[in-house]
Amino acid sequence: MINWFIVVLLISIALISWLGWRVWQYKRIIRNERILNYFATSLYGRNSEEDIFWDIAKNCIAQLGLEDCVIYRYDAVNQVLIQKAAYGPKNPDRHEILNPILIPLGQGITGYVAKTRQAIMVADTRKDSRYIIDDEHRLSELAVPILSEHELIGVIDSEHSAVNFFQEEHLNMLTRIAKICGAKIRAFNTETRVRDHIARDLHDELGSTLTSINIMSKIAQKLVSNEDMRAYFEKINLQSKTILENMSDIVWSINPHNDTLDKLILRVRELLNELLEPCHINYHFELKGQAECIRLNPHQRKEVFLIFKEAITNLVKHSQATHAFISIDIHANEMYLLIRDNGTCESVPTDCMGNGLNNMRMRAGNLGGTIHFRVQVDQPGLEILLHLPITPSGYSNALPNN
Amino acid sequence: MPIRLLIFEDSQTLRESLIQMLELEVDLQVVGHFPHTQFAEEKIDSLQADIVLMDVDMPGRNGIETVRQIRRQNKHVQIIMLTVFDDSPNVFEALCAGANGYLLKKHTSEKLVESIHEVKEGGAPMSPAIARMIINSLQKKQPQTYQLTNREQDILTSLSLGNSFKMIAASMSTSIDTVKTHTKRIYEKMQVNSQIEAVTKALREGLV
Repeated sequence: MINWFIVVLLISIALISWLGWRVWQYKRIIRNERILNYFATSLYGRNSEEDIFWDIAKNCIAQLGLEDCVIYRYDAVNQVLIQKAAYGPKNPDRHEILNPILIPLGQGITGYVAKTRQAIMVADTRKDSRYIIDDEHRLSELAVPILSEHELIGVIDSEHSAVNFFQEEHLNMLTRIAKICGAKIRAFNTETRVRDHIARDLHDELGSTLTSINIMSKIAQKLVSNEDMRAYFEKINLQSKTILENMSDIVWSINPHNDTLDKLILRVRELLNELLEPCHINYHFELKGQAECIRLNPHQRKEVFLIFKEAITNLVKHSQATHAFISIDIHANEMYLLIRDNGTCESVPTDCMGNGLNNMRMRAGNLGGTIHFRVQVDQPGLEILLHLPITPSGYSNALPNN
Repeated sequence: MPIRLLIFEDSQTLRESLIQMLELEVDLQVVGHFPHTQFAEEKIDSLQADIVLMDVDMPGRNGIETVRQIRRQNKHVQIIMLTVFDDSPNVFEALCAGANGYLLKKHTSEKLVESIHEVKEGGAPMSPAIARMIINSLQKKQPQTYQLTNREQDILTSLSLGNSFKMIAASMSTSIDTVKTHTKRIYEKMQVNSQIEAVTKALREGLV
């Protein structure tokens, strides 16, 4: 009887510990999947290679508990790895890399990984002749290649102060993270190429013919004596010019070179010159804060620009103002845009006047922001205040509604 | 004496429209028009052109490269670049190659005739984006290479901030024409500078 009891007890203990072990295992798997999911989600909306690298490096420290993480971009022309992002004990916050480390293909453990395109785990760097000291000697290292299709994009490299720190699980995780990173970079590069193509096609195919229509209608306007006919030609001329301008706006917003806020501001200023000067409206423009490091995606750029265009067009058409004040104020995560005029407006115009107020509201809403129209207390004139959330490191949390 | 014009534009429709528009003006004469840039240098000489209208995007040898080649032998002819959209990098390169000005195609019907006279009389427009590119290229090089005067430097900075000729003229208490003349000098200096660069580069390569 006792023997039976012991056998049953042993079997139960074995079963329970086996179950416990399985549960622990599944928990790890779920945790790892959650981390990977976090990586993939975190990359959403990142719209530059550099942003993608910084995001991955940061999350490797925060999510995987690594001591440091450095990401190198491979430069195929010069066959060299260039340090692009680095998080670690010495720089826990993101900052620009002033003197990036350069590693020739094949040199050191990172260079070796780039050359062979195979991940390497070094348990004890003292026993590996390939190891090169970075800022200080660390005892173990893990490096995995980032590949897109079969092309080498770069290397993720992590070092640790303890011997034999990196385990099979680290290798698996980092390999899968490198895969996510490679796919994201590939998608980003494809998108950039497509955007370039669309811009070029619009440019070549439609631009020339529209310009021609625009010119012809101008000639006709000069040549005809019939007033009615002239009015028609004037309309053709104006409308073809408007399409050219709208196309120009689209081409501008999808052009990858215009991804930063400072480019948007430059275009806004050109617009101010173009619209306000011929109507003899003086204006004052003020910019507070740094616009260079704020990235906007094509959607955001286009919407902000069109809000601006609508507001300024209204000002020219309806306000009878002689002076306008425009300011852009950039705080950490917010942008305030103010347009004020000294026109005759004494109450906030209604939406039914064909002045696009609703349009502006809708666009602001699309960007997760708000827009307010108000009349100043002590003097006539309209004031428009747009408030938008932005994030300096890369992207706005605001997503298109559709 | 009418101003003698040459047109290089690959779109036939647009070329024809340009000719028709320009021929309405008594003081302008289109002496030649071509869909390609072959033998452009010879044509400018033989047809005695005063002003060349050059599309940036030309098949074969593009507009920028053609301007560069023209400038090797002809310093006098004035060149205006035509571009569909605000294509700053290309416009900047064309200006470095020796173009005297540029015009966006959407402004063609209103401003082409005006721009031809402006360039002929010694003024040239400059967009903020272009001004900014010049400043950036100044910062990368030795500041003295361009040898801009303080006035030119001030105008360039002001343009890069998006101020118009009119605003700059007002703030410097001078006339718009003076501001235009300054921008023309800036263009000339850019071109001279990029030519010096080309020569030194050729020398360096010859020595290696």
